Amino acid sequence: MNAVEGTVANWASTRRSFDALVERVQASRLSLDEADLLRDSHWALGQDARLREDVRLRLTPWGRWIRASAYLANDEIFGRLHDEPHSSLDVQDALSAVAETVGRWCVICSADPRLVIDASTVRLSARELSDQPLLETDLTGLERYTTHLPIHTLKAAAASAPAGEWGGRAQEQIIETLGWVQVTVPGRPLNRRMFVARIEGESMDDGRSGIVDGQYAVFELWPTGSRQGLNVLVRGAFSDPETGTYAIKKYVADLRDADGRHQRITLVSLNPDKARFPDIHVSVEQEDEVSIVARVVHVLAPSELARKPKPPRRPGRRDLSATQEIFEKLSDFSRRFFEGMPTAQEEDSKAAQATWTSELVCLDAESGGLHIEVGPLVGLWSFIKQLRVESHESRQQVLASNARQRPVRVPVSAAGGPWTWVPVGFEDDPDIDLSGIALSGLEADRAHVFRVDAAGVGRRIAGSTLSRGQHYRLLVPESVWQELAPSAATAVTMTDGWRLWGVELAEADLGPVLETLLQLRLDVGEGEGRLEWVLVPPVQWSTSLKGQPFPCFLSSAAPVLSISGPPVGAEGAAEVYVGGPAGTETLSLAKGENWFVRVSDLAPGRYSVALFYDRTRVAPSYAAFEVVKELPLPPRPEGQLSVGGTAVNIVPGSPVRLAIRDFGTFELSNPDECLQLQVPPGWPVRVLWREVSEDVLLTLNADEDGRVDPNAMVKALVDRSRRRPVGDVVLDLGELGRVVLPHHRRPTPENVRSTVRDMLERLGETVERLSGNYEVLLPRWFEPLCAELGYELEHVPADPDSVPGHYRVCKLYRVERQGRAIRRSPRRLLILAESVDESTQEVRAWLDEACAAHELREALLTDGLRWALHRWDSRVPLKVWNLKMVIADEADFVAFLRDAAEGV
Amino acid sequence: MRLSIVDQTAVVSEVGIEGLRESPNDVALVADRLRGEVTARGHSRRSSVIRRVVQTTAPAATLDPEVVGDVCAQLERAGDFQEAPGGVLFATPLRVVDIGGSECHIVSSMPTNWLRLEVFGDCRREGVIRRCQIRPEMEGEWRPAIAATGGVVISPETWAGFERTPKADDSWLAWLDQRLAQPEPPGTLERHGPLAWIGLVVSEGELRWRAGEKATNARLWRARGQWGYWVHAWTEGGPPSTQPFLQLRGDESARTVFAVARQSGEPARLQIQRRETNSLFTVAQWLPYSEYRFLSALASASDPSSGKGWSIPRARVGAAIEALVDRLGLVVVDSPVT
Repeated sequence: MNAVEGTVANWASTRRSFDALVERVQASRLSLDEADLLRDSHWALGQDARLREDVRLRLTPWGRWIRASAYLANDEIFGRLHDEPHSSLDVQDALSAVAETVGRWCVICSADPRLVIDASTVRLSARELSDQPLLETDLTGLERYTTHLPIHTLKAAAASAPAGEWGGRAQEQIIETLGWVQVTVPGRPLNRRMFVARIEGESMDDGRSGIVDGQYAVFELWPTGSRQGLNVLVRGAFSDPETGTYAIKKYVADLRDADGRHQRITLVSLNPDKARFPDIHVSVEQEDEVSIVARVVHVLAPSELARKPKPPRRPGRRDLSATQEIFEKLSDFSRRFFEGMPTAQEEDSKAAQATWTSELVCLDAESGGLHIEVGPLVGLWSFIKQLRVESHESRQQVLASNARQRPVRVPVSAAGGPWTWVPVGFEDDPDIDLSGIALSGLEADRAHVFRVDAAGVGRRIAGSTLSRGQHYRLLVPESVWQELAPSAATAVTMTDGWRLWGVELAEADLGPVLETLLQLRLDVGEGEGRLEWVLVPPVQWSTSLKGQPFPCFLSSAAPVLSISGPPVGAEGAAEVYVGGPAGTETLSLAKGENWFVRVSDLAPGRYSVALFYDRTRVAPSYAAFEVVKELPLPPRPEGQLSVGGTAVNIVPGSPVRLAIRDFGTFELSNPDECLQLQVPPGWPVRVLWREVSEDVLLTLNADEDGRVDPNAMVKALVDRSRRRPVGDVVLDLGELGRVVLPHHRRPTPENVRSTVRDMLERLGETVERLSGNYEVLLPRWFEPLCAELGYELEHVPADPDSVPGHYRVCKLYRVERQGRAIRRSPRRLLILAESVDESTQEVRAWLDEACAAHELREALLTDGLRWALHRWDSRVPLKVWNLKMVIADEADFVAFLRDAAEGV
Repeated sequence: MRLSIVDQTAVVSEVGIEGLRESPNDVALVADRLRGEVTARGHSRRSSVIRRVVQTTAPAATLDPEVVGDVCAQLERAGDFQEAPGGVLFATPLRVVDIGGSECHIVSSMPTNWLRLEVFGDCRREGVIRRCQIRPEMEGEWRPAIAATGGVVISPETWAGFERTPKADDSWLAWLDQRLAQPEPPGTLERHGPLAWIGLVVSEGELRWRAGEKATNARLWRARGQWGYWVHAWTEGGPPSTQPFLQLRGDESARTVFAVARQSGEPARLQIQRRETNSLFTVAQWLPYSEYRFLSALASASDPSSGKGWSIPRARVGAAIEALVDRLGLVVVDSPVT
């Protein structure tokens, strides 16, 4: 030490005026404050002096000064106070012990916030202490009942025998003690009948007494004298809701009678909630069965009780022995994962709206890459049937009924954002606000990272650090991708040019992948544990109300969890926690990096799993699962159909036929209300139109809820039934059966007149102008007009030599329902002519020949606007109907229909 | 609750899939892993199903994704899975086809051990096909029991869809002709380049696909399309590159082959080798979907790769022949037992 001091003295950076101060510092076992040292000797004299000017002194980490050559022993003393069962140490003894080890003069810095130096002792500061008492066993006889008291459980103390039976023994020999604890009871010396116990229950918590569940208090056994008004530990033949046959209560007795006895004793709970914490009434007959074991002397404040230190903090390390803390985290995870959401019936729609979510998710390239996931939109207004997601480049719709119940995904282009949601049909309603689920677009100057979850869905992460052992999907703008080195990983090019790159960071050799990630300004951090259910298949995957999937296992199966993650160097460096209805179990993982953990003897209920490493850099991993008693029911092999209020069950082997109706009327109805079909989820349903032959109108697959899109079905039916007067709609469910829905539309004269009037207004002049131009007029005029008159028109190849003028022969067919069959039969010829007026005898004869050739008795002769009916072998002058004329008069039009139409 | 670290070998034998370790290509075992995954999920994309089955079985065996994909396709064809647009596979209800002789054919996405068929009889798996031989004492009980578990018992004809699909006969051809009245213009199937059309002709008592002049009058035509799939067409005579045509689906084309043969007076042949227990059926042409389903319920594919040979128990030979002759007009040819 002298050599060091000598060296220091020779340095120029000492200050002679500090010599006295240095001597003072050198003599002190404690650090000193600069202001205290310099205030009187220098600063009061106007000298600008600082201790840093002298190298014989040095600063502690807490801003105090010690001699430069001294050893600062704070850490060692802090460690001893943690490790040894002493609430305080003598400063001199503690420093001497350290000096023996380090061979130097040792000092302690009193500014260290971890320590409190009180006269000659040092102890841990309050922030370093837990709520648990510091139990000591190795005490001198002098300390017992002087500074320390035995600590018992309340139950053990309550069960003790009365003091009179102890003889010469001390209480700790009678009552099983947990140890000794140092206490301070202000204004009271301790005595041999006192002990410390932890208060149980809330019955005495009135906000003032301090007798609060979990607090420690000093009790005095077997009190003598009046107990009136005392808080006592009492045992007896009663049953306290919290503690059973013992309790802490306030003793209240009535006035003694003439014999000096109380008639009624009440053990009062101070807590005003008497429903939960009732008083105990003891009658005079029961008095002998109740014993006052101890009285509460003093409820100990934290500072009046020697307490255990908190576990030492180790930077970068997690304390896996703090199981309570981890159990709470597991419990929090479980609560968040399984937590319910407001129900659809909830009246407070604002609360339900707060839970609505919409987010960008990324599926694999085969499944379309980027999607918007929306829902469940619990409480969405029932009158909204469809929702539309809009961006500057696209508009797509989803069924509101689906989004109300579960998450629904819509494929979108990465370059397409931002996206807004709109209620279809209520776009201008200011009370329907879906702005809360709008999404901003993806920035086009960087990669976007989606972490793939257990269901294979990529969920977007905010940070730029990826974890080893995980699976990611990256969406990279085209411009960013093109700047990467040519050796960059291969990715799928999406239709918008963005690249979708799947990255599995579980692979051993990540060299090229890491290089590409770095170019994308992404980092790979330390791995995370990966939890996967293997080998034992779940019987069901359910989805939490937040859309997160979790497996369900049968209680008879013991699921197996495959755990992989960063290597564990020693047993206990990582632990698995499984919490469920019967509590939480813990398992230490052995040295390695892959494990199989079997979870057996499971009761039905919901469970959560956590994997914690003792390294804080490895984030905890969580999973959830459920155990069920029975196999879930498979989808039922049947369908339910509701048509316009009529409901039928569709079962295999027995086709169902419903009553005839006109499906054209569905056009004006809400599809949801007029046609509902429920089948097993995903089941294919063919919608057929059957007349003479069968046409497949469309094939639909039911959605995940087994609902077949009513909009698509109704649209197909309405389209076809508007054009066809008769037909059977067949809903074919394959081997699950089929339903026949007969259609028959009988137009009224008013309908036909209205349609014909429209046609005349649109095309009347054109028909007149193009008279004779049959190729043009047939599809535009004759076919639709004949359909209105109840016919199908078919061209007939005619021998041009046999036709007397510029005529065209067609055949008019009628499709009719005959019983359950639908037949198509020829009814008349339709003769297209340039003029109807010039019906000479020669023409009438040719008309007869044409009718005979086609075995028909009538022909309609028309130039488009004028129509006349020729009957075979008749030479009565033709009655010519001019459409332009007859349309003006209802009676004339009906007369025209009588000649020209069928089925009206 | 108990947590324990287990080693791979122990856990594999406990969960009963040690068979996969020895033969990772065992179709029946792989099929049940796939069924378990699809049923538990309710619905899932095919690629995800295959990936997950490979992953979750990895501790027991290294499955080849191609093999798993192939088994998955077989399950779709067998009706155990229902495929929806986008490659999404759905779980299916339990349908039990009563194929007679106290035997039933099981169709469902439920894994075999969930069905608990051992209560009724002996269940056996042949590839993706599952059958159960009902014990005599359970004869009166198994049907209600199936219904009670949410399943349905159906006849082979209902399973095949005979009441919904037409026979391969003249009326089928007449219907095609009726549809051909509104044809598509010639050549419109060849937007991406000319196709090598071959037409169906009946020559020397055989159905043959011929090109060029040998098929000038053929009405049914087919060609490999741009992506390797068959494209089918029906015309008045001559290839659809030069003739107006009606495009047919694969199943319609298969039915038309039998109808054309029937109409020509040279019906397609059903060759049968009658044996002591199982007889062998061979039909050289691809069966239409309904008849394929019917036969697959009654018989086992003797050569799954070709799909043209069937092994059928003697007791069911009569019913199978009757149905195929009636619907496809087949002529039965007995072959000597080799």
